[in-house]
This record gives sequence, structure tokens and C-alpha cells, in this order.
Amino acid sequence: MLEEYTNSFKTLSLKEKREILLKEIADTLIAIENLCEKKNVDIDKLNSSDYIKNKDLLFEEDYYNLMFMYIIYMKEDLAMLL
Amino acid sequence: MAKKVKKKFSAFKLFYDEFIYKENDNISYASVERNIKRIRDLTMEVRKTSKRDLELYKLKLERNNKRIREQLDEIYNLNKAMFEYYFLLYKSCVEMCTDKLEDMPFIISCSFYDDYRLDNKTPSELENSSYAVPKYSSLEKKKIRNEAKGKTKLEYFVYLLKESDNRKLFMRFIERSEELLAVKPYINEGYDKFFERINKQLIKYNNYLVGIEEILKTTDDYEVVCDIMQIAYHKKFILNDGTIKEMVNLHFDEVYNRMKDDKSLRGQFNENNDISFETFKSLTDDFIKEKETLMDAYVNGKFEPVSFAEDSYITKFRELLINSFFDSRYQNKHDVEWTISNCVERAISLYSLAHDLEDQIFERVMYDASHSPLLKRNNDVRSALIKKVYDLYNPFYLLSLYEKSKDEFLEIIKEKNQTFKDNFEIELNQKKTQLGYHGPIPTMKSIKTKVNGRRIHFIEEYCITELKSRDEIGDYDTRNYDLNVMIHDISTSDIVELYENMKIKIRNYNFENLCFFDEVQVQESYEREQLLIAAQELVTKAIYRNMKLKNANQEDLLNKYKDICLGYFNEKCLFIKEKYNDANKNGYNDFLKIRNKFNENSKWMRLLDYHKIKRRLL
Repeated sequence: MLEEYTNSFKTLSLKEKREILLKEIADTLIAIENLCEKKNVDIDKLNSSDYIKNKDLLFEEDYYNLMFMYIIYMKEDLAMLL
Repeated sequence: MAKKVKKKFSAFKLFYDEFIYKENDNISYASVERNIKRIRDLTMEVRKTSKRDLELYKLKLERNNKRIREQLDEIYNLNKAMFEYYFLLYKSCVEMCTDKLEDMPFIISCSFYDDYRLDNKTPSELENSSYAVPKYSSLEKKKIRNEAKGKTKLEYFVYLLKESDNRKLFMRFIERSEELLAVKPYINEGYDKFFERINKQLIKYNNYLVGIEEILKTTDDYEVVCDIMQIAYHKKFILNDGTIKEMVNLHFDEVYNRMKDDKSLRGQFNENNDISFETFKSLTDDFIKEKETLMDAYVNGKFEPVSFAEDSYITKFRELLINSFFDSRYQNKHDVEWTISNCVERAISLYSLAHDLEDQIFERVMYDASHSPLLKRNNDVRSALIKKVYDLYNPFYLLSLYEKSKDEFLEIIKEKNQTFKDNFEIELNQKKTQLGYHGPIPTMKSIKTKVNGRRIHFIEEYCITELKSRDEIGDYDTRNYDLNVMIHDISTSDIVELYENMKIKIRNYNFENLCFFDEVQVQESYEREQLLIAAQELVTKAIYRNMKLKNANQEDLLNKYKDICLGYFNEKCLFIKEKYNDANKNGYNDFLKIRNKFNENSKWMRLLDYHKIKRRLL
């Protein structure tokens, strides 16, 4: 299922990928903050903009693909840990 | 039925309309021209005299009336027939009339005095008066309205003060007003932002507003200006506290709305350029007038190459284009004897002209390619001005002028006898060898072919860097030239050959030579593949344009592109998959469906549900 999901992401246009990623990151951060608050865990605000603003990679499409993978895995791992 | 109140008739008013404005075709004014002018001056003098000092006003009235009477007597003696005609007009207007012709100068003079004496009355007294004494004749009113046409109240007000005899008193106000009037909205500037800027200027201006009304009231201009403004704008105009301020606001409101509607120049600038539409328009209007003058001089054989003192880029560019546009080599001399040496000289000048013209046309192509809208760079003011100059002095236009001139010259040679032709050929060939010219005198077609050869060479040379932008997001195109512009006018067979050469170049190119290339990040094969796709897209679309087909729908267009790739290059169409699949909205919807399905069982969503945290994704 995960493979199908990530493959379907790869077919999207750059604009769509960008929108989805930004939404995913914002969503994840808010959810983590809410969770931490409920569990009384102290965390510093996650600095996602570092990933978004990193344009050192020449092809942004590759960067988005990697970024998407990273977020999916990060959420899953985080959920398991919590 | 209400009794119609007849207004008393003013003999002077009739005289003034008939003689001062010389409207009547039946009267010959020539002999009395000087007298009429004098009467007009004397009348205007009274009209312009302020009535605050009543004694002075009456003194002037008496004195001028006496002088008018003298002029009228002179006219009467000079041209009695004219006075007879006037007498008839007068009698037709006056019901009971026992006046005699010789009394007319006296009657006119009296009615002048009567008219102006009435000026001392208050508006309500005048309203109820049985006399019809307009302060301005209808013609004067028309003139005033014409003068005010297109001007805002503030502009006309400043103009009147500037025209006044007392302008020195108002100088500081006039200068500051002119500065303020020069403020125009920027392109894309919002209404509020514009007024925010205006208000900053007004803070400085306010210092000059204080007291200007008072200064004006101390002069004779006060009434004149108020009256004229009233006529010009059909509204009572009284200068009191706040009138000028109100005029300023109205002025800018009007200017803003006028500019906003002027779409003729929109799109030429980006919003950061601090030049107004009006400045640009007036500047380019000057260019047009300049061309008209130069063209007249050129046609009449009086054109001298221009040399502008100003050292700006635009000026030097304009100078260059003007001098090449009005190049004397485009004209065959008519006052010259066509000897062999003169003919050789002329032929050589045509060779050199063709060479220069080829350069000029290619430069124009390069300019268009570097300023193409596809490159997503808004043109700045300089580019907009250069484009305007280029449009005025378009080198493509010169091709036909060249052809005409060359044909005229060849016709001259054709009419010569064979011996002349043979000797001309021998001398010309010698000269051509010396100067490195080859072949017959270039034609319009051969110049075009040469330019196209240079276009093809350029595309081949720069296809690695100019085929595609390095900004993958597409916000800014990193290319310097749009090759779609460069490939225009190139024949399909040349395009096919060009594509083969481009492919060879791309395949053999060592990408490590490129400054942007980073082998850690990018596969060389990927870069090569992307360039080949871009090259295919460029040539396919150019061939499609050459076919001059009518607008097709998207599906037909894509099929046509595929056909071209297959037919001309025996290749699969690569760029359609690359570009147009992206536009397929189904892909996005499919993705959302798969995502929802995935989320149903994901640990993440279960976690959020478990902790009662709202799901946010769509």
C-alpha cells in the first residue's frame, strides 16, 4: 500500500507536490505539538522550513520525492514511538 | 400668457460680436483692422480693471470710452458702407428707432459705457436688470472652455496664475504646484497607496497653500481667475479656505482614474519601475515627432547624421538606429553621371550596405529573443524604450528599401551598352577581390538567408545552455535567449538538419564544462536526456508553425506534434509525455483516493484518533 501511495505521488506535477508537501509538513508539526502538549512533553518547535528552503539540490522534483518519503516514514516511526 | 420682458439691446455688444470677432462673411474688415484691434484692447483693459477702487475704474472707463469713440469715428469715416450694414443690423434688433447712421459711433460708445457701468452692480441687481450685458461673449467663453479642455481644475488654475501679469507673486506656489502635478501613479499602484504617497507630498505643499488665496485677493487677478474658472468648469468658483486643497484631491482622483483606464501601455513595465505612463507616453511621443521631422529631411535630401550630446545608453542607441535607418546608401544619387567608376563605387556601397543591414537585422532578432515574454522577465523601462525605438526604426523595413534601391541601380546598368557592362564587371570584380566581397550584389532574399544562417548557427552553438531553464520551479527563466524566437522564419528542411546537429552536440557534450553542473547531484545522462527532450520540443513546434495550420484543439495539437516527430525525425514524441501528463488532473484525484485509503489503516491516523486530535488532511 505504501509503495502504491508513494508511486502515485511521483506522478503528480511539481506544483501539486509542493502543495501536498507543505500541507503534510504543517499537519505533522501541529499534530506533534498537540500530542506533546497532551502528554506534557516539552519540545522545541520543529523547524520544517529548513527542509523547504533547502534549494541546494539541483532538481527540485527529486528533492520533493525524498522529502515525501521522509515525512511518511517520520510520521509512522513517531506514531510507533509515542 | 405671461408678458415677455424685453431686454434692452446693447449696440456695443452687437458691434463687438460683429466686428471684434469678424464673424460676418458679408463684411470686409481689412480697412479697419487696426481700429478694431485698438477697440478690442481698450475694452479688455476696462474688463481687466478691478472694481475695488471705484474711482480708478470710472476714470479708466471714461478715458477708454473716449478713445473707443475716436476709433469708431475713424471707422465711420473710413468705411461708411460697413457702418451702413451695421446700422441695418442694429435697426433690425431695435423695435423703435429714430437713430441716424451718423449717430451710430456715439450710440455704440454710449452703450459700451452703459455695459461697463453695469459691472458695478451686484449679481442680484444685475439679475433683475433689464440690460443683457454678458461679461464674456459666447466666443470668449468657447475659447476659455477650449483652453481648459483636458486640464483638471488644479492644472488650469495654475496655468491661469502662470499667465497672469502678477505671476511673480505666485511664483513659489506655481513651482511647488508644478512639482506636485508631475506626480503620477505608478504602474499597478493601488488607489490607497497612491494617495498615501500624495499625502506625503502634500505636507510640503501645504506650506505654500497658506496665504496664496490671500495674495491672490490683493491683485486684480482674483475676479478674472474666478470668472474664467467658473466658465471653464460650469460651476461657481469662489476661492476660500480649502478650495485649493479640494482641487488637489480632485485632481489626483481624476489623474488616477484616467491612468488606471489607460491600458495602452500596461504590461510594458514591472511594478517596481518608477516611471509613470504619462512620462513614458510623452517620451515616446517625442520620439515619434522626431522621426517625422527626420523623415521629412531625409525625403527632401536634407538629412544630416545626428549626434546627440547626452551620453545615456538609450540616446546612443537611438542615435545609432536613426543614422542607420536614414543611411544615404539607401538612395541612388540622381544628380550623378553614371560613369564606370561611379557605378563600381555604387555597387560596392550596396555590398557594404547589405552587410551592415544583415548585422542590424540579426541584432534585432537577438534583442527579441532576449526579451521574449516566455523568459518570464518583465521588461524594465529601458527595454520598453529600446523596443519603442526599434519599432520606429525597424531594420526589417529597410530590406524592401534596400531591394528597391538595388533594383533601380541594376536598371541603370541594364540600360548601358555591352562594352560598358563588360568594363564595369572587370572593374567591379577587381574591387570586390580587394575588399573581400563575393558573388553578385546581395538581394533582399540573400540577406534574409544569411541572417537565417546566423540564427541556425546560434541555436546550434548555444543549445546546451539556452534550451531549458535551470530553475526547475519555473519562477524565473534562467535562459538568456528564447530559442523559439531565434528559430522563427527558418525553413522546415533547415530545421530538420539543425535538429540532427543539435542532437550530435548534446550527445557529445561534456557536461562537466557547465558551471551549474554538479555531478554529485545530477546524473549526466539525466541532463542529456532533458536537453534532447527540449530540443525535440523546440523543432517540432517550429515545424508545426511553418505548416501554418489553423488553431487546433489540444488533442489534435498533441497528435500533430506526435506525427511531426514520427514523420520528420522517426522518433517517439518525448516532450508531450513530459509536459502534458502533468496537466492531467486525474493523476491528482487518483493520488487523493490512494492517500485516503492509505490513511485509513495508517498508524499515524490511528494515533491521532486515539488522542482525539483532529485529522486535518483533506
